[in-house]
Order: sequence, then C-alpha cells, then structure tokens
Amino acid sequence: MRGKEDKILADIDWALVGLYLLLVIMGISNIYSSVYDPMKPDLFDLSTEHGKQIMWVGIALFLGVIVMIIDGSLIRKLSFWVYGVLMLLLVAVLFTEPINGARSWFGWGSFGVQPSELAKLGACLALSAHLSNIPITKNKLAPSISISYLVQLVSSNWKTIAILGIPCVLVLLQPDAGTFIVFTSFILVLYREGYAGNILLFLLVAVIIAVITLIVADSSFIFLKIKMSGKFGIVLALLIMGLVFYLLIRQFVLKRNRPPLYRAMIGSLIVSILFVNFVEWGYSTFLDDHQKERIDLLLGKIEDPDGKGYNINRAKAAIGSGGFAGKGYQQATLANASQKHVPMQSTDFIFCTWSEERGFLGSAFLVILYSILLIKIVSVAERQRSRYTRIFAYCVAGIFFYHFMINVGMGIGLAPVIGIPLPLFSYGGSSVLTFSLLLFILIKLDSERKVVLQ
Amino acid sequence: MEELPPGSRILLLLVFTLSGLFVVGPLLFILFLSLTGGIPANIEDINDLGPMYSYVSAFLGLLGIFIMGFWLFLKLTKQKADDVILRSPFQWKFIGIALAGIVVMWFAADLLYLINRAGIEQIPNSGFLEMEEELNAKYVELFSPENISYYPIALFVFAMVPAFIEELVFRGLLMRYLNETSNGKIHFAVIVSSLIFAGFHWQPWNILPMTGLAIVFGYVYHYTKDIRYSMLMHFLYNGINITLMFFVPGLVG
Repeated sequence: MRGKEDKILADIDWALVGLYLLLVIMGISNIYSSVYDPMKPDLFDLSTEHGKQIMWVGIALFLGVIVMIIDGSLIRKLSFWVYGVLMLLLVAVLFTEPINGARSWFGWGSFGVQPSELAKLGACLALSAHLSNIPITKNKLAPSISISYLVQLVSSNWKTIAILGIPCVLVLLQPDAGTFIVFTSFILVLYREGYAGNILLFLLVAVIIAVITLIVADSSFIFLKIKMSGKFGIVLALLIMGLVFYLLIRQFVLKRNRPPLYRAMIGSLIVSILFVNFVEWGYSTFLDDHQKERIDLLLGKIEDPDGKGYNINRAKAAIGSGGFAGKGYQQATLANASQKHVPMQSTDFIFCTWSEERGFLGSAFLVILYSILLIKIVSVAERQRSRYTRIFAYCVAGIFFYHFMINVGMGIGLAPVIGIPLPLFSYGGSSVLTFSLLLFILIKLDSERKVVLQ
Repeated sequence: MEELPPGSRILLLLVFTLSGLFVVGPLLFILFLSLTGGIPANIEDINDLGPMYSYVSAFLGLLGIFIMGFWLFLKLTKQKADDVILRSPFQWKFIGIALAGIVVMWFAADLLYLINRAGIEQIPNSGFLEMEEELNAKYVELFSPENISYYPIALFVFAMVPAFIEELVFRGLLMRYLNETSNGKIHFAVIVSSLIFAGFHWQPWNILPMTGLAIVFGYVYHYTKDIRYSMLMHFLYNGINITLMFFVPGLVG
C-alpha cells in the first residue's frame, strides 16, 4: 500500500498539468498586452483585467489542489448534487437584473459569476454519473429512420435527454444562444458511448440543408417559364434525389430487401421537406434581429464592413496584419487597448491580439497546442477502465473542442459571432474557473485509473 | 393492406389526422357553403361570415379528424374500434377521480399558463402574442352574452364533439400505439401523446396548460381503463370555460 502523500501525487498526468499551466500563463501575458494601460503597469493590479484574471487563476489553482486532495469516489457521489445546485443557480439567475439584455450574471461589485459557464461542469458530472450507471444492453432495434426506433430511443433514454435538456432550456431563457450551442457538444459524447446511432451523419446533412435553405430561400428562379421561389427549388431537388434513390433501389436491391429501404426513403424525404420549412420559419420566428444579421453576414447575404459586420471585419484585419512572424509583444497596432479597433478583444476576440503580435507562427503554435491538448484528453479517455472517467473525459474534450473551434472560427470569419470564450485564454473568471475545474477533475479521476476498476 | 410496423402506424395516424383537419374539414366546409349558397365573392372574407359559420367550420374540422383519423384509419389498418378503445364496468369511484382531476387542473392550468407566457415573451419576433389576442377576440365575439341563443350549439361544438373525437384519437389510438411501441412505458406514452395533443392545437401560448391537462386525461384513462371518464373530464373542462365566457363576460384576457 502506498502512503497518503504518495497517493495524492501518484499517477498524475504531468503533461496535462504542464499544458494547462502553459496555456494559462500565455493567456495572462496576452490579456496583459491586449488591455495594457500605461497608467496601470502593475501586473497584479486588481482593477485591471489581467489582475482579475490572475486572481481567478489563483482561485482555480486553489480549488484544483482541493480536487487533488479529495477522493475520486466523492466526486462520483456528489455528481448529481453539484448538478442540482448549479441548476438551481441557473433558475435563480433568471430573476436578476438583465445586463446587456441577458440575465446571466450574479454580480458583487466589479466581480461577477456566470452560472451558465459552471453549468457545463455540472452537466458533465451528471451525464457521466448517469451514463456510467446504466447497464450495457443490446439495442432491441437497429438504428434506422423510423418512428419505432425514435420512440424506443427517446423512451429508454429520457433521463439523458432530461439531464442535457434542462440546462439547455434554462440557458435559452436567459437568453444565451452561445452557451446553448456549446451544450450540443455532448452529442459527441453520446456518439462515442453508442447512444446516438447515425446522429452525426444526420447532423451533417441537416446543417447542409439548413445552410442551403437560408442562402436560397428568399431568392427566385425561372423554371418552365414560371417564377419559382428558392424554397421550392430545394424541395424539387430533394424530390429528384428521392426519385434517383428509388430507381437505384429498384435496380440494384433484392425484392425482399426493398420495403424497409422504401420506408426509410419516404421517411427521410418527409422529414427533410418539413425541415426545410421549419428552418425558414424558425429563422424568422425565434431569432432576434442581431442574430439574423450575424447569420446573414456569415452566409454573405449582406455586406456591411463598417456597420453590422464591423467586428468580423476588424478581427480579420487584425489577424491578417500580423503577417508571418507578427509585430512583436505589445506592438499590436489594431488589436490594442488604446486603439479599441477590435471589439471585445480581451474576451471573445482574444485570438486577434495573439495573432497580430505573434503572426502566423504564433497562431499555428496556439492551434497546435490546443490540438495536442485535445488529443491528450482523448488518449487519456481511452486508457480508462472506469466508464465514468471515460465519459467525463469525452465531455471535457467536446467542450474544449467546441469552444476552441467556434472562437477561432469567429475571429477568422468561419463561424457566426456568438460570444463564447477561448478556453483558458480569454479574460473571464467563470470560464477560467470552469475549464480549470474540468481539467483538474479529469486529472484527479485519471490519476486513480490503476485503483478504480469501475 | 398488410400488417404495418407499429411505428409506421403512428406516422399514418398523425398524417391522417392532420389531413382530416386541414384537407377534409375545409373541403366539407366548402361543400356546405356551396350547398347553402353562402360562398363569399372574396375568398378572404370566409372567416367573417358570422358566428353560425364559425361553429359549422369548427364542427366540420373535427368531423374531418374523426373521418380520417379514426374511421378511415381503423378501416385501412383492419382494426375494430371495440378492440382498440378500452371500456370497463361503471364505477362511482372513477367519477370522483375525474371530478378531482378537473378541480386540480383548474388551478394548475393558470399557473402553467403564466410560465408559458413568460417563455413566449422571450421571443417577441414570433407573433404568437398577436395570434393569442386575435383568437381571444374571436372567442369573445363568439361567446358573447348577446349571442346567448347560441349557447347549446357552442356547448355541442366546442365541448362535446372535441371531448369525444380528440379523446378517441389522442388517448384511444395514439397513446395506445405509443405505449405498445415503447414496450409498455406508460409515462412516456402519456407525456408524448399529450405533447402531440398540445402541439396539434397550434396555440403556442397554451402549450404548457394543454400538455398538463392532457397528461391528467391520459393518466385517468390509463387508471380507469375506460375512455368515457377522460371524455367526461374533457367535456366538463371545456364546458365550464364556455359557460363562464357566456355568463361572466370580461373574464378572458
């Protein structure tokens, strides 16, 4: 048996800790550069954003040490309690005064906490606890496009849907669409655990159909000398595709195997035609005007470089002006504090400051660093014997992946502007706390991989 | 028609019910108008013909649901109504349960409506609030004390017929098929059939109260194993609302 001191530090994945510290230190230096004020040159000044960030990192490290000391089984036992408390906080935050049109902050003076960030942690813990507890059974029906499969999927997995659905609904009520999109990252976890069938394929097709619909829906074309709306064109294309599949099935499939294929074809045809109509209706019904503008800007339907599209435009200009090797630390001319050329440059558009100062080399280094972190988390997940830890690790990987992909995509104009931070890099207490806790809990659970078998 | 897989039966039922409401019902209404010679010159005036026409149109929509979603559906799938719809011997206890359910839902529906309202106000672009005002104005006009002679007709068209037809389709058929498809998960069947029932009415400001009501109906149907008690509850709830609107004006809104 090992002693207590050995047990705390034994089997810790030091590469993960090193990557975490590297990212946090790089992040603080970058925030210092992006909000640098000659009047307040002190790094630890708590009235500046870098000072607050250092304070939050300190709190996160303190909580991290606590996580390292407590036993992993306690984390497993407390999962649902943490989830419940965070859901209560999400409900309570709906009764606060709105800041920038969203009720998402608990504020004390100049410090604030966003429960929606911490809710990601709660959802990770509860999802791992729930999924690791249900026994592995063989699905009774093979995955297919049919109501029977859908009914069985929903009726046997309604607890999973509830665990993920409650925070999604509460976050949408704030309203905070960005965090809602991050919650969809749990679909990757469900896919790995075998609960989602071909859902990634369906999602890909759905995204393609949605993008095409939004681009062409309000255009028109001439067909057989009749003016038709773009939506009709999509439906026509879907029908032609259905006809092609029908002919292919008739030509190449044995007669006794045809009926299920026909059913699946008709089902997906109906669903996709309904989906085309739903996308257009939902776009005009549920989205705010500024959300519509951001989607239109991304799809290139409207161009307004100095007005509505100024943030993307300036972010791209700042990233591009960095060149190959960058302008040097604190030498940024576009993304710096005195210019205020790029909006939100210490939180959402932090990648611009980094890219302008470090250029292509620095950006590539950061992307590679995050890729190493993600690969590392996935490899940690795959070496677990405990299902709980594996599911938790995949949750962490999914959240980091979404945040990184969307934040960088936002900066270079590949994703719509939804305000979500770059993990461990952007200024923001709640987000640093959440990402640190996610990583520390993962490191703690991973360090018990030789002891815990289930 | 050969034996359908249980999932496809649900799909067929939903498609038939929708087509009954949106195709057969309007067709019957047009037939009625052409027989009585009441088709207006401008087709957009079809909604402003007068209260009697509104009653007939609502009744024929429900009749369309019955013809397509119940009668024709059972014919095509070769089932008998007596085998699908549950009946059991009469018991006074069940009447008490139904009345207690009505009393509970009477208060719960108001609370659910307030929650629903708060959610709807989050999406001002949707136009749901305007839809609600429009429909409320229509109901106030239909059920106004000046039209008191229409009271029996209103009770028949908006309370008795919906109670009969909607219970048959949503509790009798849909809930049973959902229960069979999900391998006997009754809570799932009740909740999902209630959500479909609420979605079917297409009143987004009323989704939560309607779901709550339908859940109570569903559990009563499951407990009593007799469709008549949920029909009675549905009739009483609608009927009390209509009676209040007729005799206590100014209550709506």
